[in-house]
Amino acid sequence: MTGGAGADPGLPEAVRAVAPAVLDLLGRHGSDAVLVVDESHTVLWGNTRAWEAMDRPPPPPDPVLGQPRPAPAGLSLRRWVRDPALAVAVGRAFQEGVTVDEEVHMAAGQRTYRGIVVPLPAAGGDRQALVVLRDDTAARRLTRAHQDLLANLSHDLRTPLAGLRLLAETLVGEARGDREATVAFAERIAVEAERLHELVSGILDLAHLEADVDRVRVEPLRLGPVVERVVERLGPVARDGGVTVQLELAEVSALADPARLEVALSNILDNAIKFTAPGGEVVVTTTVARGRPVLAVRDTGRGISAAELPRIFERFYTGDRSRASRSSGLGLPIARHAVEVQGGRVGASSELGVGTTVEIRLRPVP
Amino acid sequence: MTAAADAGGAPPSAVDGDGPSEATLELAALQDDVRLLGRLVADALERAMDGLVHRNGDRLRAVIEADRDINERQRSERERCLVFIATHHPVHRELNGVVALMLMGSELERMGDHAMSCARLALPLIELSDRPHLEDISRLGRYVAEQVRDILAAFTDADTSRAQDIAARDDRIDRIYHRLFEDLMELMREQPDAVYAATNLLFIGHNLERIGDRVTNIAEDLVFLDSGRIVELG
Repeated sequence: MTGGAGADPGLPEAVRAVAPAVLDLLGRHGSDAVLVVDESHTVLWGNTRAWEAMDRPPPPPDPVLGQPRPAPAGLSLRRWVRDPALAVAVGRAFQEGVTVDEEVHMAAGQRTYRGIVVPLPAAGGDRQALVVLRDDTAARRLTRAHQDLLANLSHDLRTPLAGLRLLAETLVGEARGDREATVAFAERIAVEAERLHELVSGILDLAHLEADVDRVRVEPLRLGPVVERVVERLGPVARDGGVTVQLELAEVSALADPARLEVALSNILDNAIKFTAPGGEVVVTTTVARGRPVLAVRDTGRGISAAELPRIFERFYTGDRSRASRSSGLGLPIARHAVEVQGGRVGASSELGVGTTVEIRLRPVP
Repeated sequence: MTAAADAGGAPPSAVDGDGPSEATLELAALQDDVRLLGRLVADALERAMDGLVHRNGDRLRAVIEADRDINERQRSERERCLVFIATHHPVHRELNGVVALMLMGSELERMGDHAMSCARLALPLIELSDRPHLEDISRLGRYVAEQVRDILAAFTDADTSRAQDIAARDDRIDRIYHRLFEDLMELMREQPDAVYAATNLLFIGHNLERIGDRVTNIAEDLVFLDSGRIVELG
């Protein structure tokens, strides 16, 4: 490695002695990608993580340092990290002689890195810089999920809580002594409290899902058993609502995350049952359409207008207020999220007065 | 091979003989600046559309704020190009290269303005319960954003044939915009209370279509950069 560790006069002798071993350790096991580039952004050296991140086999290790040797000639940092923010940062570091800290996007915008560029003391006229790339994606995702959760909680709990307080105040004030009114108000408080409970559960579920994206695990999965499990679990809800659930299951498999698929189907089925009047029917089907496995839930509820349909997967959208009494508005957004993180899509179609069909399109088993 | 190597051919003023000349390094840095400008504009467009669809006022306001930075960067990049010309007296391909960068920077800055306009127009639409043809606008926005990212990739890879393909795809954007225009006009005739929302969406569509046009202009600049010929595309 150029500009070597032994060159710093301030380093105690003992440290200098173990510096190569320390470098080797950091280079091999450090979680940051470290590179050395020259003024034309050619990569002169990279640690193990850098080569892994570049998806290239590392050159054979240096016999002395145990570190990958200098890079094959002509490898440009610009080719590997396409985000121009890093190239501009490198340019600035060389031009102004300062350390530059910049946000860098990689993997088609899916991953965020923190890029630190440090101009190195010139060794024999050739100027070089150290580039450190630290994967910041998980931390940012967690922060964003956290912020969203806080924003949602504070915003959406305010209204039901205000409603509860009003009911309680009326109970204490005007309704006091009036036994019938007292019972009526108390019942309404119970209903509102139940709604709040559902809302909070939904928000926490969604937050949990959004923070957990790194652990999606897909596998080849037969859809039949998943459907049967969910339908059985929601049996009591269907009976309470006077709704029959029918199954039309073809033998279909998909590449899916079983736990998340169950969450998605459960939310969609629960929604369908809720919005179908007693005596109505909900049909769950599995088919293959255009080469992709499809799970569909068809209800005989009163349907959704064309204007509202694009919004049903929006958080907290509960549409027509009169039928929203038991809905937190989170069931479908949760389902959509759970499906999308495993590479699937959800869709819906509806006809007013006839019913609604919600579809889960999954990845085929390769 | 970066576009610098392509445009430069043999570096004109390699005084040292060893390593690339100052001119080559500076030209590469100018290209980096324009690429970053491009990325910022593409980000702004996508965030404006995202803010519109998901009713995210903070996101929209951030896009509006960030436009100032885009303008400043373009101004300083233009100056840097002029200084380059004055200092290194480029000729032939290298001169084409710098001129193309200045033209592209100018197009990108205007695209940034259009993206900011989209954000401005989207803000009052957040509160409205009904945004007609939102799906269509969202799709239009997606296609335009793809065009922007594509043309930047074509620039990075010095790929003129890809640039020409991108210019040819502008047709699709024009068609969608014109259909949207008709649909929104009809809606306004039938539902007078939808006029406010529809006009805002119409203007957003117009701004998107203009961004698409400027992508085609950049494609022409890339052809000029490569061949020295001025060709009308799309």
